[in-house]
Amino acid sequence: MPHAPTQPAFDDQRFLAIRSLLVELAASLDRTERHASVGTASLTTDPRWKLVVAAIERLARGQGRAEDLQMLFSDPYEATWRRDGGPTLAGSPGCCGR
Amino acid sequence: MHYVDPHIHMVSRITDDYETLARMGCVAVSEPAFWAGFDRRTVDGFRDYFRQITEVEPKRAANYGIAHYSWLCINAKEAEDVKLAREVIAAIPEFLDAANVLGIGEIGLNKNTRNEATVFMEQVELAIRHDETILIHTPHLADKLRGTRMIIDMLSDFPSLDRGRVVIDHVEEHTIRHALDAGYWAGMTLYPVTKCSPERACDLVELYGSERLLVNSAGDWGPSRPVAVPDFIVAMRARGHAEHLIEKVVLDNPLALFSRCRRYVPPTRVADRAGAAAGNARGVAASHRA
Repeated sequence: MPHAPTQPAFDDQRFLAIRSLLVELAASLDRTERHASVGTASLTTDPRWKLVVAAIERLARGQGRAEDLQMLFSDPYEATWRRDGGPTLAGSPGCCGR
Repeated sequence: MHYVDPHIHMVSRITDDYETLARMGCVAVSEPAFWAGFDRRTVDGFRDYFRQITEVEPKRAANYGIAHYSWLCINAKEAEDVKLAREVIAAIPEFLDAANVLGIGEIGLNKNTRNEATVFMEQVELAIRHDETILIHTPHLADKLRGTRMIIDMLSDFPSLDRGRVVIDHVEEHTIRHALDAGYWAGMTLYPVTKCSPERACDLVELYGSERLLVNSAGDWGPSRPVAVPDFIVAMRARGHAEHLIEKVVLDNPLALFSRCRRYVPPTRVADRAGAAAGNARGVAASHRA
């Protein structure tokens, strides 16, 4: 690691931050399932929900989780894109006015 | 700590934000040309915008002792109209000699379309023809990996391009390696929900080092934090990182990139000049940066 932090690897502050994120994630999942159960939405067939489920499973693995999740949420790159005429329209909201 | 925000859209921010940036230690900002929230209909609409970021914003910034640099281009979102895009590209050289212009940007891809790729390539050619530095926008979310790799693929068509004069912006965990390994600068954008957080930016500094790495807010007219770079500084300090390391990322690195522009003058002189043009009796608050 080029620049190692000098602070303790795992202290109360970091534990509380991770705990908070996990509880927030758990509540978000519960909320989504609860709301879906009273509506017409079917989470089991929703590709976005499948991505969420796959992402949670990857959290249990070791180092590289953040990059793994980014790859999971990414469209694939085709090295032959120029020959194939380019990818179809996709587009996501983001910064710089998009 | 003094710092530079190398990517922020001040045309979308109120004057109070300039004051806040100055209080936070910001000595310079650079403003890439971007989408206004609506598609401009004529090349003259772009000319007016280029005047705004080469004449008006430098004066607003100078009132708070901040140097304002800018980058010119037609952004990817308006590149679908290739005819208009080419008119804009033809008009850009009219503004390239403006004192605060650093180069061509933020060009790039948005939805990774054929037309976007065409306009991107033509603007890279424009930059090379005029010996300009380049700032590149990469797409968002699911499109980012593909778009970033497409951009690097297209840049490989220009073997004479000095990669040390090109920054690939909005990198995240899955794209930073592609930019750095190819020899480009990489910008980390601290932006709510869709981009990097200050903590994740700290992680990337720890993992990849501080060489050719920038951090910016991309503050604009959407939900964004113009003081995101100070957030990063605080997060780095909380981890116990050395002040010189933090300063390298938030001050030395952006100025090193800017200095690769053939028109570059240091922030104090830029702000002095713009302040004088604005008739700023107070002059530039340069003393706090001395």
